[in-house]
Amino acid sequence: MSGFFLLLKRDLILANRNRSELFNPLLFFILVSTLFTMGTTASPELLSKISAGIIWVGALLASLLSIDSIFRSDYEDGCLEQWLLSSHSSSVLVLAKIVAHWIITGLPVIIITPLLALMLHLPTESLTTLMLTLLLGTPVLSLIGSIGVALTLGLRKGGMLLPLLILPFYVPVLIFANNAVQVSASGLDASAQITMLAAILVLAITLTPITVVACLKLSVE
Amino acid sequence: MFQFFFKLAAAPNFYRFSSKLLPWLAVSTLLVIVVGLYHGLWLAPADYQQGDSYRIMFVHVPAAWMSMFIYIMMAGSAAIALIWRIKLADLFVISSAPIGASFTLLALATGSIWGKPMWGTWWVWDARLTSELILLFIYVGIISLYNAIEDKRSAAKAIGILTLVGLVNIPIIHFSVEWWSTLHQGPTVSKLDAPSIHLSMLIPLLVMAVGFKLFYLTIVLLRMQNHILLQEKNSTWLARKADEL
Amino acid sequence: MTFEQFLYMGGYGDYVWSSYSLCFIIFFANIATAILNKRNTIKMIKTRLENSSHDT
Repeated sequence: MSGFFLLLKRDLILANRNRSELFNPLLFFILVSTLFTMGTTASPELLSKISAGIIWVGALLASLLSIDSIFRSDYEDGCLEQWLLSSHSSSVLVLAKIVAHWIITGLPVIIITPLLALMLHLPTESLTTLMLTLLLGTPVLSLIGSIGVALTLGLRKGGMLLPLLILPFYVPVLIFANNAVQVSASGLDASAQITMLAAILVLAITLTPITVVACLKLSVE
Repeated sequence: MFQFFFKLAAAPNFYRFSSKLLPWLAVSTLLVIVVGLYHGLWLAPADYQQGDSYRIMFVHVPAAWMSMFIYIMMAGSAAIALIWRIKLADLFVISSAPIGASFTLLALATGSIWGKPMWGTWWVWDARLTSELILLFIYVGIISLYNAIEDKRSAAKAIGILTLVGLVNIPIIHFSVEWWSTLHQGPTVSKLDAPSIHLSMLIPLLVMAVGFKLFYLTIVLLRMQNHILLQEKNSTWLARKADEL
Repeated sequence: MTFEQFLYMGGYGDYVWSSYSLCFIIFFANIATAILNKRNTIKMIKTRLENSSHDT
């Protein structure tokens, strides 16, 4: 357990040293949401219907942008191999890295969302639902994303392969999250969708670390 | 009996066995499909509601079935490769993937073509079509990952894991899309399959389904042979057998 | 059903026949790539074996 917190702390400290890099996914998130608006329409009624989707797609793309860095530097300087060989449970270490990644990328997205929701005319009744879906969903994005990264870590010309691999698996999260917000915007109860998101999160937390370790062992050898 | 399958896990035995099997498979595929086509296109009567356009069903539905059947076969094979470390099972995954992808593409295209006269539109974000589209992306992802990794042994293991990840996700994806689509579904979208299907239409459908499965078996064996040759190109049994190839 | 009715397919001829042609094309593509790949691999192996036997 101590390995988990040590690694978590180390990653957070490292991220803090590169503070400008911290803001890139966040800026991207804001930019994407703004661009969507400018590319479609500025009429408040229409925007209020699609604002949840815009915010979610923005969060998704921002996660995709930042996920590659989760193992990259440790792979390149050889730390990753050492951790896999060490006596610590590899799955716990992987989980620590994913949690660190989520704190660095997912959490800022959640914090800035109320501001974006205001700009995109999100109906105020559904703001808490949107925040809840992001809280449950962004960790899933980090988790599933890390599987994709682990599979493509050794490749030089990764390119569009990573998004291609991961995006199909992001779809259920996107659908349930958006649906939850739409339902709550019309005043109804969205607990079914929230429960589904929670279930997906639990499934992801359970199965992802072992899968990532298996993929990392392939990429590292 | 078990000995037989056990021996089959060795590449030379598998190659020899599949070479003997292939002509029979190829011929029976041809026969079954010809029979199915004759039944479906000529003998079966026109549908009361859809007229003759329903005949697209005889390629669309078997293609959709195959797209899912092949994925399940791939996942099962990936699991076997992972648990019992049988290399041939890994080869089965990459040999099946392009076939699965092409059936998925066929299902989507024929579904779209059938949709035009039936629903009046080329595409609908219907639960099944959308899930099928995502399945296509998953297939393409598997094939791309295999091609991107240089060491083919690692590549085979990597796509094995990816296939299993997909297996867990596909029911979730399908469920979520169904949820999403039923809430948006307009009254104009009609359900594709009737609760009961007439025997004269069921028979060609099943015959075509069997034909498609035989086709899959034929092609997957051919592709596996190719991968075996590539994998074993430095081995001695190949050097000895080279003249027979 | 007459042959003309067969082609016309009750007005849906274009749709039905394009679907079946697509099916035929995909089947053909699968067969062709499988056979060609195998043939090329065998050719490659044979040349490799000849080259290595010439060296010895």
